[in-house]
Amino acid sequence: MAILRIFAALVCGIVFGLGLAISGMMNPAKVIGFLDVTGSWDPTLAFVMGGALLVAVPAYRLVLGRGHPALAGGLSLPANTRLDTPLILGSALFGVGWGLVGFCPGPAVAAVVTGLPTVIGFVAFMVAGMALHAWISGERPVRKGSPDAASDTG
Amino acid sequence: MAGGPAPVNILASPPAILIGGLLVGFGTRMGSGCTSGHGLCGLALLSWRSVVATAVFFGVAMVTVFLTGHVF
Repeated sequence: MAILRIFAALVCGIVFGLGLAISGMMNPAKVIGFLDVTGSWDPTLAFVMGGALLVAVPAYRLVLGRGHPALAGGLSLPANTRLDTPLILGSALFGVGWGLVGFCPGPAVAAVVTGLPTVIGFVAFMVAGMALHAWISGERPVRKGSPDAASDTG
Repeated sequence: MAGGPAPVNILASPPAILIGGLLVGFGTRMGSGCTSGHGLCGLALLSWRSVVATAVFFGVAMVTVFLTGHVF
């Protein structure tokens, strides 16, 4: 079971990384072109999120209908349903950073394989930003299986 | 694809890259998710929090690109 879980995670990571690389999500210049709605807008990346949702929406229905995942005892779904200030403010701050550079967390981590100093610098400061938030909010490491583990996904 | 590695072309200046990194890391933790977490997983789960978060970070990112590319 444990080795199967690790293997499943590896396969998911490879598929996700391939999707980011092939679609162009890993290329900040292309992402900026997608966000540049008032300039020379390149709408092609809309198909990445649209295409992903075409798969993910029915896939989640399927998994939720089964009650539990194939390789785990239970699902860890977000428990918070409130539209609160941290959600809005955090998303806005993320939007500024995303618009400045064109990298969001997944593609930035995937792009580390290029070894470019600019990519490594971005990811280092991104991790620092995460640590800064943990420090300011007094967040403690979440123990596996604790109720807090069911917060939103990254 | 033309073959070879996927292009990774960053247009931002080094200070903007580092400030952007800090904001992306801090913001995604504070907002409990990013493009993948809210935009894909959250929307696929039909979560209202994710609908709002996705609208906010897309909107703010578009305004940021407008300001940095066409105003300043």
